[in-house]
Amino acid sequence: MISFIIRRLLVTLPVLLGITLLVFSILHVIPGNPAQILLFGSSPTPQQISNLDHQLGLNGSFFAQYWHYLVQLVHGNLGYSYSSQQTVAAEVGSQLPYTINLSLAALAVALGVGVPLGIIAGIRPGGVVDKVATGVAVLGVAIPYFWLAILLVLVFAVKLRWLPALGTGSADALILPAVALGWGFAAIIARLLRNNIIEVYERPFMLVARAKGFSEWQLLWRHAMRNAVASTVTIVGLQIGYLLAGAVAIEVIFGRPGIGSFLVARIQEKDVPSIQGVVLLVAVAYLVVNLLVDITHGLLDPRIRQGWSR
Amino acid sequence: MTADAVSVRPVTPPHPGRLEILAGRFRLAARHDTVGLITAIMALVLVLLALLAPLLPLPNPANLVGQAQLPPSAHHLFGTDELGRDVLSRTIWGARHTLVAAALSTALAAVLGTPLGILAGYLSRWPSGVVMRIMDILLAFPGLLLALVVVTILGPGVTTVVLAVGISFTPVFGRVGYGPTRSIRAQDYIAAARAVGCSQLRIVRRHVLPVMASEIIVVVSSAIGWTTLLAATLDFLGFGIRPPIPDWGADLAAGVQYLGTAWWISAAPGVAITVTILVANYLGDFLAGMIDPDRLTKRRTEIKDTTALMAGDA
Repeated sequence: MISFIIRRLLVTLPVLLGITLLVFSILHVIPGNPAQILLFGSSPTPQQISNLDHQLGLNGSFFAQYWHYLVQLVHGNLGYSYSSQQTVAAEVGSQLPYTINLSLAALAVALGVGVPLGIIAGIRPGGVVDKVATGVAVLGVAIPYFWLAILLVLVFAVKLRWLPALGTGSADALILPAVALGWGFAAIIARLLRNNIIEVYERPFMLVARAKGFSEWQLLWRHAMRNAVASTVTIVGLQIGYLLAGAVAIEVIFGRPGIGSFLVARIQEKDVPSIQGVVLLVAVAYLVVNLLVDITHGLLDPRIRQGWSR
Repeated sequence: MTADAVSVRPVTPPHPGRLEILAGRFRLAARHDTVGLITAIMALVLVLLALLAPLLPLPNPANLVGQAQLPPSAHHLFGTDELGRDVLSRTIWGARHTLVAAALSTALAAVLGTPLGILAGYLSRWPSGVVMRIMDILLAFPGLLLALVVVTILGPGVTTVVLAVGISFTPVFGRVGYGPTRSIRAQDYIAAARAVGCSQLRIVRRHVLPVMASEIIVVVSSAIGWTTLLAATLDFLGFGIRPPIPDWGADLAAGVQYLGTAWWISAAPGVAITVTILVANYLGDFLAGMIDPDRLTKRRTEIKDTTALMAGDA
């Protein structure tokens, strides 16, 4: 198990470096010199520009600058925002809790709706619940989440006036964004879990277990679910990125604070360090979640561990 | 020896023309897959509407044709928008921009990604690892985030949206090219082809590509649905087409402020995007059934999983 985790970490390392390189390169491929953008309007002397370049670590070769960037990252320094002059780390840090709340609430919706629907549909394929679940899944995947958000606002906030459309003050305000963001994910979970359960029920060991006299309940929880969940977990992990990216549009629609609406605002202002900070954060979070998911999968299924040691 | 190698070339038996085969396959697939047939027809209708928009008896999508925010009526089937333009006309004209952006970016992703995947599958151990790690790095960015990075670099615009969406979907096609290549690389018939002197390019064209043809078609087709979604998201966020030009994402965003009084302004482009995604998904399965009739009898569940995965990428 330890060697599996170490191998998995070793594969992650180059990807992590690649992500930082890609994020760092944004500054270099974007038109315009950072120092000139910062000193815009003050007609700077070349001396001022080179001083600022030095201060920002922007002199020397590309790789010297990249090295400087990495060293700063390790110290938790994401640079200074062009538009607010605050540290990016502090700004992103203040926005992050809102996005995490939204993502967790959406994940709760996704699991709360997707898992029961997937299990019931999987046990009785072709039954009423399965047909409803399939309809929900097909629509859930196909309806754009930002449009679903608009529909929810229209029905529950504008027409019925049950829930607030905007704002972050109360817990109610979280419901509509979380449903809009989590629904498509629920559809994917339901679909995958259903297919996995159907597949497991066709395996010979299920026949053996049934012949041995296990109850249907034991069959489901002790045999079918253990197998079905393992492969579903991987896909769920891969889809965490869906929540983080989807939060961008959802935050903009509902006028919520968070790293998504922060990112969109800063792209419009061409505030490169802030953009770099958010992009790096999301990509690394995504990578870490996938790493944890793979390790969990390895814990649940010994065959995965063996696959990695070959 | 050389004489033997030449005589190995198979004699092609007389066979029906390609069109006849396709027609037969179409009938076979249509019999097995009614939903697929319906979506194939809907896809045709969507494409025809987009292509023939200038010939249809519709008011100019940019012209004011009546009062603002008129509800749907016989005169304006989908009502009028916040400025008094015909919503039906804007939705049909919007298909031209949105679908073209989706098709171009899907083509870009397929043309960039598939050869990279095949290359990685074909190469020996470590160069292949390098190419696939680069794909992993791209995959570490959720599609929308990668697209937003491209927007940051290039600035908002129509070309930006196509490039951004295309690059975001490149790793998806990389995976499509990589898997099958990896698994047939060691097959005897590849070694045999090499032994009779086939060039690498010919081996890829004659032996590798056909194996993944049906998978590529499924992925291209459903990818058009997801690239439509991603392109519409970027337009929705205001990084694409400028407002007066009709576009699904931008029109959807414009209608949000008028939800309470004129829901139809956002509803029409929203339905259009949803229908496109649905049609694209089912069409992929239908076309795959035509190319590879074995798939028709296979359980549909296995096929659906790949498209579910892509939804997350968008």
